[in-house]
Amino acid sequence: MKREEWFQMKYEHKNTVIHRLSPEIKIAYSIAVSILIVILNSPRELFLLTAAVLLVLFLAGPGLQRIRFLFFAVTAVVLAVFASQAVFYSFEPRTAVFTLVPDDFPVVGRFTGGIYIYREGMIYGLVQSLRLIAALTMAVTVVISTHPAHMVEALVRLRFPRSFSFVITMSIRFLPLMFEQSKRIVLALRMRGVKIRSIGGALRMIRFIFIPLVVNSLRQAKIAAFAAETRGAGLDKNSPDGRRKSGFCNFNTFELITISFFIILMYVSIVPFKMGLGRIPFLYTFFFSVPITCVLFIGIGLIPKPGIVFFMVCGHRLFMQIMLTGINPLWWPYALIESSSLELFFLIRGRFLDSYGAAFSAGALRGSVVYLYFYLVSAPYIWHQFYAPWYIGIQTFLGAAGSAVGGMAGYRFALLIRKTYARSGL
Amino acid sequence: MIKVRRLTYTYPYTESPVLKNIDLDINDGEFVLIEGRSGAGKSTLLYCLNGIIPHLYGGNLTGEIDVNGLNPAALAGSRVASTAGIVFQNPDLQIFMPTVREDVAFGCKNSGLPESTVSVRVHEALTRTGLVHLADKAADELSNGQKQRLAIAGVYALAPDVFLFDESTTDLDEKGKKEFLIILERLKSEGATVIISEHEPGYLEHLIDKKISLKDGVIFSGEQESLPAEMPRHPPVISSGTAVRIKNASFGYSRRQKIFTGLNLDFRKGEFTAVVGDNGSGKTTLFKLILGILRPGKGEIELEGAVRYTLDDICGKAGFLFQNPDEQLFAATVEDEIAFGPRQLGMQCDTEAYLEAYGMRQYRGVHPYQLSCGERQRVAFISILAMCPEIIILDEPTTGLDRASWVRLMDTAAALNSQGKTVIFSSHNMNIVEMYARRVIRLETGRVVSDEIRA
Repeated sequence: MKREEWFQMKYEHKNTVIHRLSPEIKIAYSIAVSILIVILNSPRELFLLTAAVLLVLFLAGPGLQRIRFLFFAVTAVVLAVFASQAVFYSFEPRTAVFTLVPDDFPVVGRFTGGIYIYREGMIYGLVQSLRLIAALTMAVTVVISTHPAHMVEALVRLRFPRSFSFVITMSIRFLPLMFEQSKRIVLALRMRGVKIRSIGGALRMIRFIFIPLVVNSLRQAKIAAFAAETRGAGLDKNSPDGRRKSGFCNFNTFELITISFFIILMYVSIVPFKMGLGRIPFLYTFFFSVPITCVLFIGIGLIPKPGIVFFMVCGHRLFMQIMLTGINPLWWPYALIESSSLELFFLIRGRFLDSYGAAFSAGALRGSVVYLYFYLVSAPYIWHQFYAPWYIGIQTFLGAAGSAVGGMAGYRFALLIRKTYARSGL
Repeated sequence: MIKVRRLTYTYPYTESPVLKNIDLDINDGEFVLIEGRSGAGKSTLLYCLNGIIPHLYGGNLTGEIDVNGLNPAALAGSRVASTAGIVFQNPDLQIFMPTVREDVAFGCKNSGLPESTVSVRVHEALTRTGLVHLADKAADELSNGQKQRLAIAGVYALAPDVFLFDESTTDLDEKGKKEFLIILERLKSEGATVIISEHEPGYLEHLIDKKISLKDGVIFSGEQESLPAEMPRHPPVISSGTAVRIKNASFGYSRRQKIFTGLNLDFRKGEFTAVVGDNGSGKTTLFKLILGILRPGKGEIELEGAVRYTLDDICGKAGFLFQNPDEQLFAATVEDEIAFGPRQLGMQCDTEAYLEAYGMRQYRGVHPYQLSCGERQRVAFISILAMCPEIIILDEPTTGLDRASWVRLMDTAAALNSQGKTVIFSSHNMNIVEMYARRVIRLETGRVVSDEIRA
């Protein structure tokens, strides 16, 4: 995501009718729009939905700059989806309305059997474009009109666990601090002559950024935990009025704040991959899996307690939704399945990450579960996108491989960070 | 009344105690300063007084602590908060809610106070800290000084018997410190018990009723080290050449947020210059412009003869040290840390000579994180010097360092200056500016309001 897009997806303090609505209503609105996007199929219904969602956006006073951003984003989406579906639509029956490359054209025509624009593909492309526009517009409306912390408060009122909500609140609170800190570390590295001129340079840079960033975050987490506890947060198991003393998800305040730092890191770690390596066609699954699994496994390596995967994965998903896309429970099973599979893996082993082999297996498991669930459940039933079995097989393999590599890297980093942190005298 | 008897405390996983047999009496309404070098045990003592130790730190605590008849070690979190509230150094880590009002209410709500009491307490706390007009403002949008006042308001709302301040002015500029001082004066006049630990307590002299000096974990009655009398220590070597020339430069982070408009400034080779001003006055932006990290929208900046350069172009010619050493250390040993930069630039580096020259030989194989904060900052500094820069820029490098540490660091800078290197630094600590700077440039919202050469 580009810097301008970050800016566009940010809460803006205003007093419009949409800003004044309670966050609960906006959560209900997000859920309703998300479900309608999935169940509506005809272009006319989706067009009406999109028009309604756009109207709500205008009531939220998005401002000229944001409208311009939305217009360009929407145009790009519509053109890309519409064009690709019109040309590559593969379902039958299909009616060719225009020939781009005839089947007797040398090489390309003979190889592909001709390239045509199909009427059914154009309609399908239009439907998919409208879905994406509606989802994007809803997300912008909710995000610009609701302060993330108020969204979290609403989730608490809706009976989300207190400690889980605290983690999300802290992630929101500390996101700008973490950004600033990582910028300063990158600057310090550049002042010391480290240059990013190749993929190797970028990977080296990540290594050098990670350790000071995490060690500093752990130090800050400790102070923030002190400050929260001395203002009666009562989340710490050691605190006499701590409300949770044992069982699953038994974290103290320091651990909860540390988890929130890792949620931010998961959120931030995928950005360079979204902009660079993650855009490499076909291989993006591999490159996308590496950083996110790496950060997840550093967290598991540093806080090896039951519930850590659940807190990090589900926390990250919810954080992304609050910050960027609006609350959409249709994606929650995705996070729940990912976290339960890993929690179960560690439960059966009876140990957390204690070797590269364990990190490799857990990573491969994560990648397999996540991508199989995506291609077999999420894509067809939520996004109405269908993939060939061979494609699913290759992408799942690449996802599992990327997660295994990320898992091992995360384990390695966790060892290094533990060592460095122990030396830092805290 | 606070009574401490035979207090000894050892952190987890360490062998030697940080506090040893501390005996202490503090009367109600007293204003107490805790002084001592980094690592003397100042913060640890404060943490013991409000129950952070042992509740959150663990470790081994023996002896007795009595705060107004209560033992913090045996109190519940919310009771501790209303007995001894603490304000830390970094205000950003003490703010939890989106708006000023909500953040002040955070502790009261956690303590289970009824809504009507919460709103009265919040209003009272905001009034006392001068934040009423900012009550509905986003906490993120406050200045550092305002954020620290917000942290105090959050504690104030819990109506504690004792206020503890753990180096709370470290991140504040002059204006922030003045605002902070007004609150302390008010607390004193209201008869509150205040215990404050500070590296630079000069501005508090008129408030202090009692001083507790800590050295290596024990209370001692000797004098703390005073500021070195001789200043500056090294004669400057100023040549006629220009190190940095800023010609009519304009810069803003956005069209609306202009920082500099038509800025003209020259730094001669061999000058030792301090750039001072409140947070947001443009000091760091000026340094980033000089270093090519940012580019001026209009005008030109020339560094050692180079124009239209980037950071990569001048890396090695100019060195930049900033506040937090932990964001600038990357290697596993001090020796590797010093060699890190030269290695990236393909330069030869005699690490042995640097270790020897700066008295770091005994730390050669030690992980930089194992050193004290002052030593870590020195390692970061030496690592930059190992790249042989002609211009050295230090952006508030002494923040959070005790007196002995900043004197060592700035002495190193002064020694380099005497060899002809150009040194430009910023600091909120006017003692340092007075002692070392030959030229002082004061910035106010991007404008140079004064530029003095000192005799």
